[in-house]
Amino acid sequence: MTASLTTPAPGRVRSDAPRGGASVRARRRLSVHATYLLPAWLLVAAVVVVPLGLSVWMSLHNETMLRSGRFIGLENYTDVLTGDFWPALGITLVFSLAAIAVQVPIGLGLAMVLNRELRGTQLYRSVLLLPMLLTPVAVGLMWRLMLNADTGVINGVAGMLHLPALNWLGDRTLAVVSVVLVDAWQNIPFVMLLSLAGLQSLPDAPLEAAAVDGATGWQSFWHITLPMLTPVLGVVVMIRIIESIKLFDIIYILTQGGPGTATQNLSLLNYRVGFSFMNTGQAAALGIVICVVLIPVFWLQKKVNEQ
Amino acid sequence: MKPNRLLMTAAALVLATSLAACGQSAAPQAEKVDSLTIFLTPSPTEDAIKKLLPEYEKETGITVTVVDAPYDDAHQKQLLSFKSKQGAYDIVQFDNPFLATYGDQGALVDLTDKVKSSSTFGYDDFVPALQQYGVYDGKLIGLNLSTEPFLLWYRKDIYAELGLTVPKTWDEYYANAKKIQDSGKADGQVMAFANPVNSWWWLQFLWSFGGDLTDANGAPSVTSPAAVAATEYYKKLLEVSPQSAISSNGDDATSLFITQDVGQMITYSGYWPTIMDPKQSKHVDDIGYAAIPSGTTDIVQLTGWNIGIPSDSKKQDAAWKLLDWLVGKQGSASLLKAGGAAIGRNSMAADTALVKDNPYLPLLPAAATNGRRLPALVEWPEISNQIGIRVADVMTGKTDSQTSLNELNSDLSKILGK
Repeated sequence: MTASLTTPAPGRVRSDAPRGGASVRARRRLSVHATYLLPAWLLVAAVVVVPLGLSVWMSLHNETMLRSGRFIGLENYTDVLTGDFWPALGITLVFSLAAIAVQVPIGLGLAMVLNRELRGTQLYRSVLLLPMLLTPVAVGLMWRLMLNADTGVINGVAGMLHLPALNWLGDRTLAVVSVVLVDAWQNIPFVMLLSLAGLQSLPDAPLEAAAVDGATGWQSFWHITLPMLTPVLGVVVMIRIIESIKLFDIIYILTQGGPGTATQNLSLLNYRVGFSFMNTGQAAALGIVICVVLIPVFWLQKKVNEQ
Repeated sequence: MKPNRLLMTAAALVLATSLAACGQSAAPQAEKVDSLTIFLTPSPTEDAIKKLLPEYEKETGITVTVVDAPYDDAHQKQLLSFKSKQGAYDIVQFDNPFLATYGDQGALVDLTDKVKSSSTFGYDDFVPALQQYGVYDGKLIGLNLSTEPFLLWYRKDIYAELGLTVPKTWDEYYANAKKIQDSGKADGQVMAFANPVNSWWWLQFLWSFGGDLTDANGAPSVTSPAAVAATEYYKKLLEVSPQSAISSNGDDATSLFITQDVGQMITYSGYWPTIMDPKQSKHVDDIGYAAIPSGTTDIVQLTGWNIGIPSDSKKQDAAWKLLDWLVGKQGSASLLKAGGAAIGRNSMAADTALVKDNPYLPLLPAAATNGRRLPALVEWPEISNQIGIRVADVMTGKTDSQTSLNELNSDLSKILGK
């Protein structure tokens, strides 16, 4: 009894602890856990680790779609970094920044309007969500027709308003603008939807108190609504950054990365190298370089999730 | 005992699997074939083949399954299938620029002996250029499924109104385009300017102006005066084209020609069914066609589909019999009548009944005589892409012709030097 009440020295707890019972139970628990987790880990290994390992292996060989290649060290990486990689990275960043700069303010603005529960809000909400429901390929094809400089409806309307007909897909700058606008058209509803959900979950009390204190609408938004909405907006921004980095379908249909390489982002470049040029080794190297470049984004996402 | 039993079971399984695999790879050719799989690409020719196949199935009792994939995916799927060597397809339709890629890997069967010994195929029915169209490294691995040289298409009504004649030279072609544009009645001309397909049109001008991608030693030679002149000419044509031409591929350019007012166009003869379809074309009665103008050379770019038998097919004899029936002398005519693209056979060009419905047929063997196919290089997809980008840089005013061609020359050196 006396011994059991005495606090043992730290070092002795382990050495004197009954080895059999606790450690066997712990090992058994561990093995049960491992047994349950094993299928999941095997699945992860099969769909993530193995392909990733194969990609690394391929990136070190001059592998093509038809031929298993010989080991060439880092040559594929050198080729990638001295080719079209940097302009494509630049375009990818432009699309990502533009996605945030255009889609988040407009999506949030629409959410603010719809949050007011004005007459017809339900109808507007349904209509505004429609673009999000369309497949990107259909969106690309539709806008390709609409943006045609000679036969498209956009220039048709511009003509009726005595505005100049612009070469939306043929001018290097306007082609970038077109991709940004079409991507925004499809994804603003997504931003709006999440922002609206965030707005509707905010408590009314701080806003009512601010109103009693004589705060203007703008002051309430800037000092109360926006700070409270920041976690939701953080998630929205992260999702949009990731999605805009992966953007492929709309660009492929709308401009094929042209004119020249004006709208060729990393996804399109990777597709071209792998599937058009059939240079799977170099495409694997490019994929790995893209993963490395995106590490800050993953880090940012982790930080947002932690918040 | 348990481990021994386990070992014996494993050994038995391995043996059984190996035997099954051996049996699969050694499938006897003489075995009765009751089905074939043919890989096609969506096109009027695919529709025509589908119309004809029931007749073949009735004649032979062989079921023919058609699988297809859009152009952008078709060759990737075929390549992956060849790599797996499972014999997924017995016949494949492929575009001629892939001839080198397939030939380099031995992915297709050499049909030289078969076509020469066939009494129904009619190998001698082709002009030499078309006999060579599917040949890579001395082996005939692709039969002609269509013959599509560049043609000049023009609006007879606009030509008549402005007193224009069919141009024989590229200078005359531009002069016509300028007159049409200046008249305000229509845009002067149209063709594809969007990359990467702009490389095909640019290559035509490069050849016409006496240049080439490489010199006699195989070194890139696109900095030559001929290449600069060709690029400048191509850019000059943009000034007398519809505004959207710069972002147009072949389909878009054709669409502009048949729905808008455009005086003339250079595109492939394979667009005939589209251009002459009253449901799609507003100007069917006013469209004329002729051989393309010449520069310092008479070269005409020759394109068209090939069709062949994969080396991993387990039913090569049956596949050949179907091909002989489908694109042989009789089959080619049936294919055209069923709505497929024309194959440039001499017999078809001389067939009055066929020519009545397809007046451009005599132009095909003639154009093919001066015809030159796209470079049969494994690296062609990458080269084509790079040409497209550098030419687009000139078209959009990013750089001048000489600078862009210097860059292209070093791009080509790098690609060809790999």
